[in-house]
Amino acid sequence: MEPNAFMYLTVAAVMFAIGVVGVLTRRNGIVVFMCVELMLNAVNLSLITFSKMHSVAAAAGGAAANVNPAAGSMMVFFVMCVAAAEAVVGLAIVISIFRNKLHIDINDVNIFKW
Amino acid sequence: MNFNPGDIVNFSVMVAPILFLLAVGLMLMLMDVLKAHSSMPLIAGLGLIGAGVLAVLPEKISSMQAFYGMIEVGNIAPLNIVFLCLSGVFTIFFLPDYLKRQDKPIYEVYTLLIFAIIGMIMMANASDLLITFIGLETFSIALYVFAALFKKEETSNEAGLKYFLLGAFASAFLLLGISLLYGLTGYTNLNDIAANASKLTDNPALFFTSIGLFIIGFLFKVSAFPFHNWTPDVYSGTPTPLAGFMATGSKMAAFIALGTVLIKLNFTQYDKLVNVLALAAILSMIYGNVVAVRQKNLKRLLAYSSIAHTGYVLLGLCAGKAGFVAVIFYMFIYTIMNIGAFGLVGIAERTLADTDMDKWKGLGIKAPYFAAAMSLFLFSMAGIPPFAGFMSKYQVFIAAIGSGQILLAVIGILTSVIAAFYYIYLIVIMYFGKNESPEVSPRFDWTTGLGVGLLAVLILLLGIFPSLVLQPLLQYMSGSISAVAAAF
Amino acid sequence: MVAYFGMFLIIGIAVILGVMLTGLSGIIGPKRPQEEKYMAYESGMDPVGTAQERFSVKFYMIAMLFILFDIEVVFMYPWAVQYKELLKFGWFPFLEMLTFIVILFVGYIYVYKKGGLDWD
Repeated sequence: MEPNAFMYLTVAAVMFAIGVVGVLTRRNGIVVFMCVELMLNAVNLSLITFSKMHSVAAAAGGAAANVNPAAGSMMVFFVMCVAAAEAVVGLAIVISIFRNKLHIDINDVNIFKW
Repeated sequence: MNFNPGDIVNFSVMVAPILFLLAVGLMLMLMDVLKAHSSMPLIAGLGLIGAGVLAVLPEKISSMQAFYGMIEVGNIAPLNIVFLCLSGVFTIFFLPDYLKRQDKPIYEVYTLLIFAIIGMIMMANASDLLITFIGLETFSIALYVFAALFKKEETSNEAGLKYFLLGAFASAFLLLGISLLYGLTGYTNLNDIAANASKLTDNPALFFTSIGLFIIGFLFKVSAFPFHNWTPDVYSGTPTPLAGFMATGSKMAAFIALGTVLIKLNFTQYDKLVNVLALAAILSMIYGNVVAVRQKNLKRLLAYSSIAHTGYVLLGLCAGKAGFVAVIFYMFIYTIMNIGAFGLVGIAERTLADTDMDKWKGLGIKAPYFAAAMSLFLFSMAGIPPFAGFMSKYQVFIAAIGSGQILLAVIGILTSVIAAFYYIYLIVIMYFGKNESPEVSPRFDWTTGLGVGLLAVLILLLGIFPSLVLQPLLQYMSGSISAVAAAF
Repeated sequence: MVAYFGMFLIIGIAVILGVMLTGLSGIIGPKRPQEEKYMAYESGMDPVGTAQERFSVKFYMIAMLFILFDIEVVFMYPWAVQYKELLKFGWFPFLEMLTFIVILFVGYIYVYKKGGLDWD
């Protein structure tokens, strides 16, 4: 079976959903953040798929050729970079919490209520 | 493609404010490591003012993009730069003094502030979804650091973690929305997407999914109703002047970006989108104002009031193109009064009364100037006529009524009555509350005093002459909206 | 086969370089044997022991700085691949990448001066 755009997009959707569920259910701050990264990477996969899809369409010509295949691939670079920057800041915050509390269970981060 | 050296010059002139701010930011980084700390606030402030001047210096361009169609430099863009830079300048008036009073000599703040404003400018003036995303992340990452700035304090840690995790979560949704829009149209450039609008209507299910995810990401950033939960916690853990900046600059950028995208997509023709935004507006106004009534902590009160103000701005956004000027005007006025109010709470934090409302009793007698300034900002936020807050609310309501959203406007007016209650309650506490505690006087530097004075004067001035801001706004929008201006 | 000549050349050079460098250092380098030097190299960690032990936060600093500077290469690859095409713009693409690297360099100076790279 030839891999097609639908399969890649399904994988991306499943990855994104796993990420969402992970963020909503996990309690360890770092694991939650890993799930967010998973979501970003799922989007990256979908962007690459769309980019490839559009480049195939553009090569075929006709009305479907009115697309910009490079835009999606380009976006992936920036998303990767942003994810790295976010990881750095996020882990710095997690470490400063760890230094004060000696654990990073997010259910326990609850000074503020109502 | 032909290329000549003159293009580089034109190109640099167009994005000069951003390049200039970048240079200022790099310089501040070097000043930080070279221990030239004392002049950092001054350089940052002057840099922001310089960028604002650079933005409006060239003659008005109708609509023009730099970086191959990625950043808008004409149309309303120069004014966006001015407003965002001003929000930074206002914050800098309060920052050095506040950090000194908290005994936390943290100088990275100024560098981060500059970089955050670069991100906001990029986002507000983006004409490509890629730039929207990068701008959003640039300032979000700076704001995560702001929230977690006092790393030894658990409140600040908590604010940072909450803001960071939820912010990253929301930007993933935003990104998925952008990705689906790209899959649908084949472009990330807004003008190209607008030119291919037929591709959007061909597949309404996917279109509404993508734009819905996109709007979710933005509603989170502006803390509108279903995505507001982080706001009070984050604002109360964040250093106070920075919380003011967080509530104003970032929201202004997000609203301008959201408005630009929606208007480019001509969203008023899709009833569903307008209804979703209207619902978010109504719920934000009601929830923010009603919950704010019960707050005892001033920072949380201001946070809930900021949710309510988000509702009012969303109400303007629902009016489509006609409301866009009102949205920007509202956000600018809100920036002035909110940074002022947060700044004053910041003064009170260590010297006067803390952020606990009960301790504010009797401040009207003990610290008359302080209380007078606070009352002015609160009156303005409540939307009492001679102050600028009234004008901004008026503009938004007029725009909503003009576009047929009568119900929205009515709810807006009703909820602002609730809002007036808790703002004025605080004023009543300050002037008529009894407090037996010994005499105190607020301690602050001349910079803070100057900042408060400037903001107060602006509130009065813009309340009486709103056209000082509205006129340039309409002029830069090339007179495309005349209905709002007709009232003045 | 001819089409892959470049690839084989690179593999060849890589093998030769690798063998040569490690070999040469083995032959002419000074030898002061210690017990630690004969343990498996694990980037400074103790190679034997429980897998879940906590390790120093210093590793975090280095790792984060590595990620930050490492990820920037992502922007240089497309630029480098397209450089021949970009030559029609004269010096402009080169200057743009130079600006990018200067910004990174300022960041590097900042990290260095702040002591982010100090191990102790």
